[in-house]
Formats: sequence, C-alpha cells, structure tokens
Amino acid sequence: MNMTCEKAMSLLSAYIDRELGYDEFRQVELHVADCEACQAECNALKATKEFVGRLKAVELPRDFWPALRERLGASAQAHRQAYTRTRGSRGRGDILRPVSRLFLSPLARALAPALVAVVLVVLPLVWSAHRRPAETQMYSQVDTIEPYFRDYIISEYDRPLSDRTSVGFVVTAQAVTMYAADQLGLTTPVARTGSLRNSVPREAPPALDVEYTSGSHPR
Amino acid sequence: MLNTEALAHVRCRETDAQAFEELVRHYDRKLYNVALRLTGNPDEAKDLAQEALLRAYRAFNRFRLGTSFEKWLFRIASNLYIDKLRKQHNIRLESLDEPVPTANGQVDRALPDWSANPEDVAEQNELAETIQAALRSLPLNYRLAVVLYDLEGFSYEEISGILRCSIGTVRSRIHRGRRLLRHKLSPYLNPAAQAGAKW
Repeated sequence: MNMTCEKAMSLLSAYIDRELGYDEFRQVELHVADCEACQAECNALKATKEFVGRLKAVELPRDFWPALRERLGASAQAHRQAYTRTRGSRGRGDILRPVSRLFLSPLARALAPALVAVVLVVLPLVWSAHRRPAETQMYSQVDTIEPYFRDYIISEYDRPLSDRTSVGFVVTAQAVTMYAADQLGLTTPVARTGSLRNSVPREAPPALDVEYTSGSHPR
Repeated sequence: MLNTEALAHVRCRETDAQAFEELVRHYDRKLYNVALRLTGNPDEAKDLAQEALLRAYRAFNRFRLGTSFEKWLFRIASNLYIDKLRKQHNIRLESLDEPVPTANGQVDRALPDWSANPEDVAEQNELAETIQAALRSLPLNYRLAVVLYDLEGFSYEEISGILRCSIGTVRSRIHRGRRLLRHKLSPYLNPAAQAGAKW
C-alpha cells in the first residue's frame, strides 16, 4: 500500500537520520522516489541538517575546571560534615561502613532468600532430631504404657512440628492413673510424677487393669 | 563501560571529588557544548554545565549502576535548563536594541564591538552566530532534541532516555525543529535544495 504524502512528510527527518524500521524506511523511500514535493522537502531538510552540523564544537573555557573543582571540594567537605553529624563520631562511621556495604551488596541480597529457607526449614528439623530421644530408649519406656498411648506418642515424636504439650499431657495422665492404681492397691506403684522418663520404669510392670476415667484421679 | 569508569563509579559513592572528576572528564566538553547551544551564551553555558556537574556529584548516590551515566548526566543538565527558563519567565527581559529611557528623553545603547578579528574568523563567527540565533529561536523542546541529535550525535533512543519521552515524540520534535530551522536559515541554504521546497 502506498504511503500518503502527509505520512511521508512526517517521517522525512527520521528517514534522513535512518531512524526508521525497515518497512517504514522502504515505504518512505519508494514514496520519495515517486513524489517531487516530498523529494524537495527531503532535500531541504537534509540541507538544513548539514548546515546546522557546520556549527563546530568549542573547547571548554580554561577556568571551567579550577572553579568547578573548588565547588566540588566544598560540596564534599559539607557532605562529610553532614555524614559525621548524622552517624556520630567519624571513627564509628568508618567501622560500620564496610558492614553496611556488605549487607547492601548484590550477593547478600541474592543469598537472603536461601538464608531464610535454612532458618525456617532446616533448623527446625535439626533441632527436632536433636531433641528426640533415642529410639531404643523411647520404645523401652513406652512398652509399659497402654498401646493406644504408645502409638500416639510415637506418632507425635515422629512429627517434627507436633505439639509436645499434648504428649506431655497424655504421659502425665498415664502416670496419674498409675498413681491412682497404686493408691487402690491394684498393682506396684510405678510412677508418682508426670515426667515420661522419670515415671516409667525400664522393667515392664504388670499390665494395668484400670479404666482411664476422671474417677480414677487421686483426691 | 570502561574499567576506569567503573572504578570511578565505585569511588564516587564515597563522595570522592577526584574520582568524580575522572569520571565526568569523558563528558565535560560535550556537556558544555550542549549548554552553549541551548543558552547561546558562553558564560551562561559555563554556569549551566558546572551546575549540572555539581548536582550530579551531590546526587550520585541516586545514580543506578548499570544504567547510562551519560544519559543521566545530560538529563540533569536539560532539566536544570528547563527549570531555569521557567524561573526566568518571571523576569522582565530587556532588548539590547531598545533605547534607554532617561530624564532627557530616550538614548540609544552604545555597545562595544568585540568582533575585531580576521575575515575568515569573522565569517566563521557569523555563520556560528546565525545558526546559534536560529537554534535559540526554536521552542525549547525542539531545540533540545535538535541539539542532542544534530550537534551531539545522540541516537533517538538515547534522546528519549534523556528527555524521558517516547521515541515517537523525539522523532516529531526533531522533525518540527528542523522544519522551523529551514525557514529561519533559508537564505543560507543551498538554492537547489530550496527550489523544490513548497513549504
């Protein structure tokens, strides 16, 4: 499709400057080749551009830098004083500067998400493994408790983010129940306090035949 | 980017005036020339270029590494000049040709003639003054675009970055500026080129 004169005229400077895309450039080129008015306008604009381009670049005045250097120095001095005022003593600012630069560096910014992931995921896992009792110890102790509590406690210990207070409650209830059984003379007392490690003996006691109801709590 | 330039970037962060000078030495002449073409006056141009460099130095912490320092610097200069012109709108301008009113009537201004130079220099100066006067007559936006492209060799894309406008706007400003210049400079242009021009 042929370009209109109006459109071609508006693009002539960009055409002269070769700042058009290939398609537009070709369309203007074809139009100018066929249109005398646009050709004349194109030549006039080229002549104008060339004439303006004859304006030669001039050298810097001799006093340009000496005067500017003084102003730059004064500005740097003012900046340093302002910096010292806001940051306290100069020595302190000098000490903290490399640290703040380290935290603002691109590398630090890139590593920040990885650090957050480590803190949120890896550390709880390591902490959980550290806090978990050895399996042999746990099983030897839990064997003396009712199967329901044993399974429950084992499953809770296997979950790294589980709520340990519920495990403590269950264990405490078991110990209290055993204590109640002792009071009733049903079996040998095995526990008097709530701690799992302290309350459950390593030797398996005789099986308890007690229902876990509120009525069995000691008064 | 040159290695020395990159190093200077880092040192400038610490408000090192000497490092800043090393960095802007690549652009000072170009900046002064743009200022001269915009203002048309060497003293004003010097003030404008120095002020632009001083502002760039003070605001260097806001310059983003990895972007074009040259564009940033020329943007500061052009914004500075635009602000300056806006302020000057409130100042009454006096023409040098205008007679001075006195108690005894009007008196013509007596201006010294500083152009006591050889002929070729005079010719060159005349040419420069003619072009400079034509440039000064352009609206500011057109003048900025034409000076940056025709005299300082920035690309349309770079000018759009400096002036913060689209490439289409740059294209339009350069074109309109050149058409106005063509009218102003028509007596000096090649007659063959003028013959075909209809407007």
